[in-house]
Amino acid sequence: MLDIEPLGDRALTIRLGDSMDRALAALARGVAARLRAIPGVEEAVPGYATVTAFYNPAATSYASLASVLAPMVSPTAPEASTHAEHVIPVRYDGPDLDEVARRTGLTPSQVVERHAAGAYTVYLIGFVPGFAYLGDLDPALELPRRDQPRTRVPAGSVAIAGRQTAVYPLDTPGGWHLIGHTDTSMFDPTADPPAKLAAGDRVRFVPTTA
Amino acid sequence: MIEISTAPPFATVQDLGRFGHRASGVPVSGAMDPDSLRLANSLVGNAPDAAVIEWALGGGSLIFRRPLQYVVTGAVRAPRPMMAKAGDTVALAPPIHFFGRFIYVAVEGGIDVPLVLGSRSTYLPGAFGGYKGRILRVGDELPVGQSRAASSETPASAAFDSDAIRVIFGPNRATFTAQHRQQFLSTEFKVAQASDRMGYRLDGPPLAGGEWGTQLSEPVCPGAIQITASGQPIVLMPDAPTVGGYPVIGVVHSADLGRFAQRLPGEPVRFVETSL
Repeated sequence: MLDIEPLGDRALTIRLGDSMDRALAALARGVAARLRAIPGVEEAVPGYATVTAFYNPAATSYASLASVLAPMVSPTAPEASTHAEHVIPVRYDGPDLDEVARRTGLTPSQVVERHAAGAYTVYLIGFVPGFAYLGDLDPALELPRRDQPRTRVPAGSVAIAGRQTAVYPLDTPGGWHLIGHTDTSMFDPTADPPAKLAAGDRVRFVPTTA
Repeated sequence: MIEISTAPPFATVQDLGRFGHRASGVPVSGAMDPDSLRLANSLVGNAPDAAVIEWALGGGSLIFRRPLQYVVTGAVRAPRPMMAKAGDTVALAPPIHFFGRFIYVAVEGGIDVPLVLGSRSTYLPGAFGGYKGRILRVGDELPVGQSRAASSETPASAAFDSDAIRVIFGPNRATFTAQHRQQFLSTEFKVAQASDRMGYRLDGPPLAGGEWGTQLSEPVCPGAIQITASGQPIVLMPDAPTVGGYPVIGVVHSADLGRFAQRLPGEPVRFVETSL
């Protein structure tokens, strides 16, 4: 039985599971891609373990969408699209690097090594435009978010929290630990698509001194 | 061209919103009260999605560089299209609190700032859209588009004939019990001071009997009512992030969101359940 619920009168959310899991995220992306092909569906956005379809109620309805969704959510349904691979150069000089090292019992250079060794996948985009939640972070680097979020984190900050890492695309408030900085632009409203990363893309970070 | 000669503390250019980019994390933005935007556009013969000035927290004035029809809707007594001559300075009264918190100033031809990702709406946290991605200031000169020959029809009011705001329960039904939903419907909330284009917090007795920690983030939308860890609701508004980690008890019906947006801090809010 497919778990579908309305998200208001113009959207619905399909729940595929409740864990942060690469296979589940890939399934969500595959379902989102196929939802976009249904007449009346205007946008389809994957979450970690969910997919939300935004539809035009003048063109379709919750009931008619719900009736065509079941065959799309087979766990064996392959994800059709291929994903880009990105290499992001990072200066590991973030203001929280020493604290992260102290709290994880590592040296700062071990923190850098472990962070840069990761092969990350974009789980989802959100929080602010172009903010990509990347996982999975090395468990040795896992820390809860900061008790006191910063009121302003500069764009380009490379940060970690929980089992995730991200690059702040804009100057925003933020509660993650800042370990480095990149000059790579993560969001450009004049580009299409405006976000550098898309759900499912693969990302590696490379230390640089420049 | 129109010039802002006296600015209120908060005015931005908005249209019906920026759609199609949620997968890139781009919020829809757009008018807080889209019904008043549509009405304003229809009264000056604009397309329904033409850009207007969303104006709050005070009065101000505009200088018209050429003769143009204009109208003010939203928190005003009676919207009435007026004609401005070239060189006229038009004074705008602050929003009338009895009617709400936003007024919408439409000029014939629409505010013709550049489209960004398909919309002229200002998104302040990203500093893009609208006029240079920011709040309007004294001296800003706003381009005005071509007038349309065609007249447009006044939009039918879709407003629900009640004070209550309609809500559709979901999409986190499993997180909440029937008692939670009942408590939510029987509570008279007040719009909190902490209310802006991203979200309106609601003051009232916290939703009791649950642990409302965060869950795995999933897509949300304007009108989604999140229950924070303390049990306090937040209604997401047009500039809210596209995904959220607080459970959503329900979503305000899209036809009622503008009416809700016009509520001022301290004003009461009651919700009533509706179905699709």
